[in-house]
Amino acid sequence: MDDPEQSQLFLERLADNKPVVKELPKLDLETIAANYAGPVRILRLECIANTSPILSREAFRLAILQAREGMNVPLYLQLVGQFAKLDPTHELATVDTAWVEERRKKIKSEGDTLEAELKAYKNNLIKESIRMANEDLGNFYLSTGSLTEAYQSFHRMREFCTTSKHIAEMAMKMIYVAILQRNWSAVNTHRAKILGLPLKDDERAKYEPVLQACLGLSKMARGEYHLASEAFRQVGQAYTVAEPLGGITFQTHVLTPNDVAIYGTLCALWRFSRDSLRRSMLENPKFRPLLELEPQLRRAMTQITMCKYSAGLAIIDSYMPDFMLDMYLQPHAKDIYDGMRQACITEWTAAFSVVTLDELASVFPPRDRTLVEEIEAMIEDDALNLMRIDLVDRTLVWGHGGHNSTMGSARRCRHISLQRSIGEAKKAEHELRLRLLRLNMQAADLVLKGSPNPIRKQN
Amino acid sequence: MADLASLLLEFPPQDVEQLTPEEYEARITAFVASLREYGPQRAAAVDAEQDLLKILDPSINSIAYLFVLSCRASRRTLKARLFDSTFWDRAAEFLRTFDPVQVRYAGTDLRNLLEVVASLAMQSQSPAAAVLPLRDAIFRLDPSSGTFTSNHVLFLQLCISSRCFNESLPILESVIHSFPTATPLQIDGPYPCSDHHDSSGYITLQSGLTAPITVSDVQDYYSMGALIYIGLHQWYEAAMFLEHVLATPSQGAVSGLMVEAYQRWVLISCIYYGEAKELSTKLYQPNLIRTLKACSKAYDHLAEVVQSRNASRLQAEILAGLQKWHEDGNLGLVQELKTSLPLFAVINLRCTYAALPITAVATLLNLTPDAATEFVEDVIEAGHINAVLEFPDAASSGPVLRFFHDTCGGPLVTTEDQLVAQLTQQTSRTVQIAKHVRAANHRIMLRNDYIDSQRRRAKQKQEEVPTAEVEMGWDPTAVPDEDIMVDS
Repeated sequence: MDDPEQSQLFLERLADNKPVVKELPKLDLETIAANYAGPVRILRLECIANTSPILSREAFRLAILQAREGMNVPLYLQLVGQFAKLDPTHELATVDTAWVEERRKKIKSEGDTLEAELKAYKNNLIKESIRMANEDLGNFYLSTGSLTEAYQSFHRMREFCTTSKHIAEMAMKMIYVAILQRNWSAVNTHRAKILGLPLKDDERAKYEPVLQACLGLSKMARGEYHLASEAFRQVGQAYTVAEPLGGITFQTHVLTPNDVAIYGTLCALWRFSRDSLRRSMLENPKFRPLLELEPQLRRAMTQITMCKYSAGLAIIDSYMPDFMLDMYLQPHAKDIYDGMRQACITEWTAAFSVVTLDELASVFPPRDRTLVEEIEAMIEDDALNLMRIDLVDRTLVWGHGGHNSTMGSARRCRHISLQRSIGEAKKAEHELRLRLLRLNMQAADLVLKGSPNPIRKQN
Repeated sequence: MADLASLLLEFPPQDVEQLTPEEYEARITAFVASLREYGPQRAAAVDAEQDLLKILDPSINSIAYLFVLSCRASRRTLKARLFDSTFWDRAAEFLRTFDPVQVRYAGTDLRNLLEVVASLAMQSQSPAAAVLPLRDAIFRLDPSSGTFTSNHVLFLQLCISSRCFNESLPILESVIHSFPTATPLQIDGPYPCSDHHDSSGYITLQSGLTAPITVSDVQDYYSMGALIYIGLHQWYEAAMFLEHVLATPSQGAVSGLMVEAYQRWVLISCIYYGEAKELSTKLYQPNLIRTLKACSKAYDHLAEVVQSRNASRLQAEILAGLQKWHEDGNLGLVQELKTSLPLFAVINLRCTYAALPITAVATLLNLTPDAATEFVEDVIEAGHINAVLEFPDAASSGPVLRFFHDTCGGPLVTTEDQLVAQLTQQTSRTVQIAKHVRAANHRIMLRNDYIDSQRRRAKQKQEEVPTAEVEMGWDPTAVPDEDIMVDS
């Protein structure tokens, strides 16, 4: 068997600068296949197949077999195409034209039937039937992978909804389609719509955990990690047992409770502060049960809150291959890890007024760039509060400390606040002078009149 | 002749100190009227026979002295005036010593005299000669120099053509706190001779002390002031004067001077701050900023390049637009940008490093270590960074640039007393300007149209009349805080 890394698939990905994870991940494909359902199951397998040379073959096999059970022909063709680049000799790597033809025919006839039914109901003007026919049509398009049509069909249900519950269920379906489309602003629009509906308290309680999870996902996908962690924190244990909403079981079709725990933890670790990490994550009774599903992350977070940064980072590091194989985490895992490492360095150095760079390197071994480069970038980002690099003594010194200091800290503070006051007073003077001129000119009727074009021709 | 001489000596009377403002007003207007009645032609004839100025003291008989000087100025032909050294000396002496209250009644004559002096100096190719007499006259008339007059514009024109930049500073440094209006508010009394709180009480359009002012006069004044500061390399002040041009109230129009000012302002803030600051929408209308930016794309682009700290790109941009910079008269400033680029590279190092070997600086600046050392030495000497160059004993290692984080130490060390003194000075200046703003606000509130509009508004809303309180942005009672003075 050829080395999968040398296959056309991975060579192309490397050339395109797309992530390829060579390390062996801890995840188990069978578990993934068992935990998810619907399109997400195939999409997740596809993501793994395209990223991990080790698991690629098996993941493709599972994904293609799954796809053959459904009606999503384009997805099947795409998977087979990718698989052919990996292993053209495999029996699943050639398109099963008979199956494709058969599915296409079936899709055509089923689609026609549903359209006809809808037309008939429309003629009869029975609202509830029209709503349901649109729903059937939407579900049908969803199963064939025509997401835009599915979205439109669900959208057409709106005017035939008679109760708030109908509207909420319709919106849930649209959220689901929007997530598959990665249309994150639509997710938030429909979420807001549901929250605005006059639902009963027990109804509302069913929607809230799921909506929080969707919100978190959309925020994370947009790189707004702080907001994402806030949202995931509010999901709560009820999510694990949430009923299907709008006919969709979100914990298998979108995010499993484990995903919520992982995403929530990682987003919280991005540029964390130890105090808030402890308060809002570890001691949060709402998030704690979910966190127990991923004990290794809880351990990492505990280590970090106890200032054992290298131990905590090592745990996260060991799970990085898994995170890179996650379809939603893949684009963000590195950013989040860098932000986490940065916060660790910030917190660790905060305790010292002087640290040698070698000491720092022993706690935080440099990764893909030199430590000095990393620190420089952090200082430019204002992430290292008032620390400066001393390249001569190879140390990191706190701005107000170091061997330059000759004055007591109270006097130094006074000194700085005096300077600041002078600056503020100067700024105030500057602004007042301009205001004075304007007031005076207005009082003397000295106002520039005429066309808004400059008198002299410019540019 | 005798009657003219006695007429000229009629004012001021012996008991001038005891006169009430009403009496003073009556006496001086009568005196001025009688001089008018006598007529400049007749007076000139008498003056030709005998030097009338000999019997007059410019500091006491100011009106009479000015009358005779004006007669001479109008009598002489241009050529004669040019070579009349006594006229020049007498005029200069008068401008230095005249009685500031009397001349309020002969404003047009005074202004004409100033214009004659200025044009004489210009025509004799020595504009510098008129700079000090004009400055003396402006300060004598109005010790604050704070009411804007046409003389201010004239003065700066002289300063620029004679390149007397330093001489102009006392005028430029005084804050213009009011503009002459056609109808003075008479806050401190109805007469020009009353004891006015500020000079706008007697420098009015009627007084003749200033020609009518237009918006472009004001913009001219501030543009010229900025030019002078640019000549002196006082960038902060130059930028502030250009902002004064931009702050002109406008009904949507933008003048060429404003566009020019904006372009210079972009360049100067690049030179001074290393980046183009944003114009605050608190002070300027967003429309104005948009129009200015639309007219100055080349400059904004140049500022972006400066911010990118890419020397070769900057050089290319400067060369590409050479013609344009030259046409706009900004070539000098644009060239200045080149020197500011390595300067800011070094200045910004202090944010990242506490100390670094000069070799690292040299790599950054693309210089040899020796050239870098020299450059850094200059930067330190000019006071741009608070740092020292250390030369370690070991011959193997080169010099080290070590920064001081604040001015508690290092070559730019300042003591707390110095800072307190600075703060007190700055605060008192700011408070002074805040007072001017309040006075200006007060003047606006007393205008008829303002009162009318408020009355209309009050009628419409049936509410209390709101006050036109301008946001001062500065509370003088807030600083200095007593606590910071206590040594711990």
